[in-house]
Amino acid sequence: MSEKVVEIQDLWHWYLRGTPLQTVALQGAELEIQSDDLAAIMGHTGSGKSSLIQHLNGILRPHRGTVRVFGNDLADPKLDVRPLRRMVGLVFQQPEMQLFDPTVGDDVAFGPRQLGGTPEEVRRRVRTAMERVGLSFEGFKDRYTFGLSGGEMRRVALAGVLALEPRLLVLDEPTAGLDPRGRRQLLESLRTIHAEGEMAVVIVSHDMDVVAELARRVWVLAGGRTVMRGSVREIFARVEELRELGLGIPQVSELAYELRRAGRDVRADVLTADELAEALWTNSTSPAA
Amino acid sequence: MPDPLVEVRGVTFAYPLPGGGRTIALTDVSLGVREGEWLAVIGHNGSGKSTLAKLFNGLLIPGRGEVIVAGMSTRDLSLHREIRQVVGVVFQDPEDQIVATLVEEDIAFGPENLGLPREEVRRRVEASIEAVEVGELRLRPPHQLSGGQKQRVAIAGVLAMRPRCIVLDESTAMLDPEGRREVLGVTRRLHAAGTTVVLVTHFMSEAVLAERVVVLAEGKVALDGSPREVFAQRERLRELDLDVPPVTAVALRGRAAGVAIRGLPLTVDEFVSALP
Repeated sequence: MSEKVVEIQDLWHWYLRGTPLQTVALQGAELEIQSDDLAAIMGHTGSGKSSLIQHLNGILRPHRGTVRVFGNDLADPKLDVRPLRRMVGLVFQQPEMQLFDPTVGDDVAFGPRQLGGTPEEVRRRVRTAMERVGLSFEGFKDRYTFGLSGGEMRRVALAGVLALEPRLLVLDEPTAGLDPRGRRQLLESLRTIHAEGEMAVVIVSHDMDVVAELARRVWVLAGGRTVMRGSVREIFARVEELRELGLGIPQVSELAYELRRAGRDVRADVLTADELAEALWTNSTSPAA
Repeated sequence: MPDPLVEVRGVTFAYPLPGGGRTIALTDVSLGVREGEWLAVIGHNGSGKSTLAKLFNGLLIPGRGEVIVAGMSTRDLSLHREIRQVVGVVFQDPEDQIVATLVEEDIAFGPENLGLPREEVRRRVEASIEAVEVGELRLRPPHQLSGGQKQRVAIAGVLAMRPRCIVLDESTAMLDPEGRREVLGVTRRLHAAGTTVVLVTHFMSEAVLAERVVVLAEGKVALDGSPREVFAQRERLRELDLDVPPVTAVALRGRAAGVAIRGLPLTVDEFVSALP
């Protein structure tokens, strides 16, 4: 049974609050995440995405509004955020920059060792985490970390967070800068993690094709507010609103939109090339006219 | 046919490994870039794309073979100053390329170092600012700008050197959709004004904007042709773990199902008009 693990209502946050340089980052943002969610947060640079996710494990505290994460009230100044940080794994942009151990297995083991588990428990966590990101434990544990490809290094960094066995995994721009192969492998890893890991997965991304391929539910931020929410199909069918927000649109959604404008009868909520081809040419009157 | 502006002749390049030995990045690559051409280079990380970009203006010198820029070999170190005035490179991360504390000073850095008269520096800075539309940002510190703005400032810095060829090495990879649109818009205008463009990219939707696409794989040229010729070879691309743009994938599905689609659409507009 899914339950609500994150509940954010009317969240306000200012940077440099109380100084002449005060700027508002969030002004009434909302977000809800279920325990089995696979969600995406989208928004333009400066829309408040990063500020929003930094509230999820207490890096930032709300200045106004409600932030509840696994039942913890982040507005309570007495709240100890350490247990929360074990439950919420935050993967920042280009996390491979934070790798430091020359051996892959030791880098992934760093977190679980800090938690003080037995060597067997650490080994179990490292093995599980590595296999979920598609790096075989035997094949990679003794490899030289900095000799790996960019995509592999990023998956090692992800395994390091997974080894803490969080219940909510949040990734900021997980595919930025990866080549097409690295991108595809990372998306496969995220699907596996979500399916097997019993955790909610939230990505922050402005790569709309990644959002379309991976996410089920989408939250759109603009100017520090939540301006759209819905299933990934509903959101990408709203092409004109997304354009007005300066966001990209998956190429397939854009094509479906332009075909409708040109008078074709195509449903709005197609996401993949296969779906669009099917919508265009199955059940249609005379395909090979 | 005139000589290419940049000519890569039988180039092999290897990087030394820390523990000894070498890793080969390019093997016997030959390739010419015509003046005024817009060339896209695609391929996975490790395919040799960035090595190629760095060979274009002598940041790297080939181990074997030669790179000739406007008649000058990059092997001749005494010509590097001139070669870099012909070919300018913009990299992935604008943070790596910005040196000054104000936008206009950053753009002036290159021409000032050429020892040009103040008037000429001024003229070039103005023209570059105009070309990338950063006029309202000229007195801002670069670190306060968005990614797309920073990358446009980095391009302006290269333009102030008045290069005949600009190489964009994954210059849009870290940008948001608006930043990408900004940089591609500038690229399009530069090309229309006669600048030779080499765009190294992971995005197939950017590669289709070029006149010619070169696909690198394991240090060799795997495909070389117009976007239409290259993206018609879907099987070959798939062998290389690459794919056609989504629009083209839809069209190929339709064609396989017997729909009479005209040509091979690469963009949304082409697709809409290619349907029967």
